[in-house]
Amino acid sequence: MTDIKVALVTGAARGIGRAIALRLASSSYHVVVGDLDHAAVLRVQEEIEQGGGKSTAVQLDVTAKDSREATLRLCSEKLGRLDVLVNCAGVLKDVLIERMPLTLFSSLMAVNLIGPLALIGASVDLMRRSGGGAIVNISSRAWLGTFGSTAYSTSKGGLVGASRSLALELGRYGITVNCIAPGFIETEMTAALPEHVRQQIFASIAVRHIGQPDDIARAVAFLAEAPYCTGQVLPVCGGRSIGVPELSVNEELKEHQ
Amino acid sequence: MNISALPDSDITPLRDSPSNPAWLVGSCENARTLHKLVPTLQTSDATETTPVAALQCVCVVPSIPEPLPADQWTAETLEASVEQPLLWTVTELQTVISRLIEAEKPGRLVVALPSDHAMGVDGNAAAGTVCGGILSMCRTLSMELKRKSIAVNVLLVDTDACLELPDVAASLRQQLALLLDLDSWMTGQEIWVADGSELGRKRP
Repeated sequence: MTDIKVALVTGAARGIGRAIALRLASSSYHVVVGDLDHAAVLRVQEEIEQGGGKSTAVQLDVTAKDSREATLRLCSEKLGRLDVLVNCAGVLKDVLIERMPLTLFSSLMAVNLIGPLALIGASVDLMRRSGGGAIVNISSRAWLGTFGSTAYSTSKGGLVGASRSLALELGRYGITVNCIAPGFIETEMTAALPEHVRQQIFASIAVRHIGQPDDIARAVAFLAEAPYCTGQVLPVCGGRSIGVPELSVNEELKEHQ
Repeated sequence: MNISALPDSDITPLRDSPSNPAWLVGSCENARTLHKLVPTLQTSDATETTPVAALQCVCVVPSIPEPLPADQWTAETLEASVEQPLLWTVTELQTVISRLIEAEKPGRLVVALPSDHAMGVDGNAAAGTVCGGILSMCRTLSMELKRKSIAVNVLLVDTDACLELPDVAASLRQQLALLLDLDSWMTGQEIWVADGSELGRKRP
């Protein structure tokens, strides 16, 4: 087994996943960056290497068994270990319950919940052989409920429920399992929102600004090295989860989607 | 409010069953146990086969997967143990909700979950996943459906305690009666009928 710790980050091509990969690389992890978009994730690998870090890019479809197995084989056979698994791959599609096709529900479950859980299941043995480690599931503030997000919030709440029981199950092997619940984070989608909607969102955030991907990455870096913290959900949302009731904001947001 | 100051006629005792017909939907072991504890509920295996007019106040009881260690998980086992109960639950709720919205009727929806798995159980994370997913599903639905006068609540039940302790079983009947009663209004709540087993612990 090598001395260099290995972290696997799914959905690492852009946004929050990319920021997590960069942050863990700066903490001396060899970061396996996985994403469906191979070209984009290769650019993240280059970015890490240009900064003096170590990285391997893989094309990863979390819903495909072959793809998950190939990624873990790489961790095991080429890198010799797996210390941190960050489940960040996910999709968001909102629609009101009465108009929600069940195919949409299933497709979100596949990417946001079943794929990550299957990856966890396949990773446990390697993490145990590596002497323990940390699993960080990127849930969402929508876990608390979000207007128009039945499928998405179900998938993210599922991750929270899974993490609690997994923490009880895997703690004896030195594996921690936690969730991060990001709030409103600056992305291409949020940047495109009308100004008055953005202002409403600002008003619902205690710190009065939209979060950056690195805000989530810093929380991941903490949980990756926190062996006495497990089974928890860490909201990283600028206080939005305790703030102004957001029903009207979310109703308006849905009108723009 | 000083309740002792109220005239006796203003104090309504808690009922054991709602004043309107209420249905229990589900055919799993937990559904059968709940019906044993609350026999006043009318039963249905699936909302699709139940008369439209009848389904206004519904308690849905999803099946909960059997224990399976995480290192034995595969996509196939997870689809069967996690996705199917979630899909079944959302399908049943969606059927009722669509009918209520179309008929412009108020509704009272309750999902009953096992309290222990909602809190987390060593060795059955699939069950924890189902419970966590449904809790969030119901939180979102309660926000969406409030404007349609449809209430969505979750009842977290320790059925063993209910079967063993008459007081806990009575509490279950009263809580369920309140949540399914068209004459009352409460939404977005998670009510624990677990004989205190969740106390002193961080709830999901």
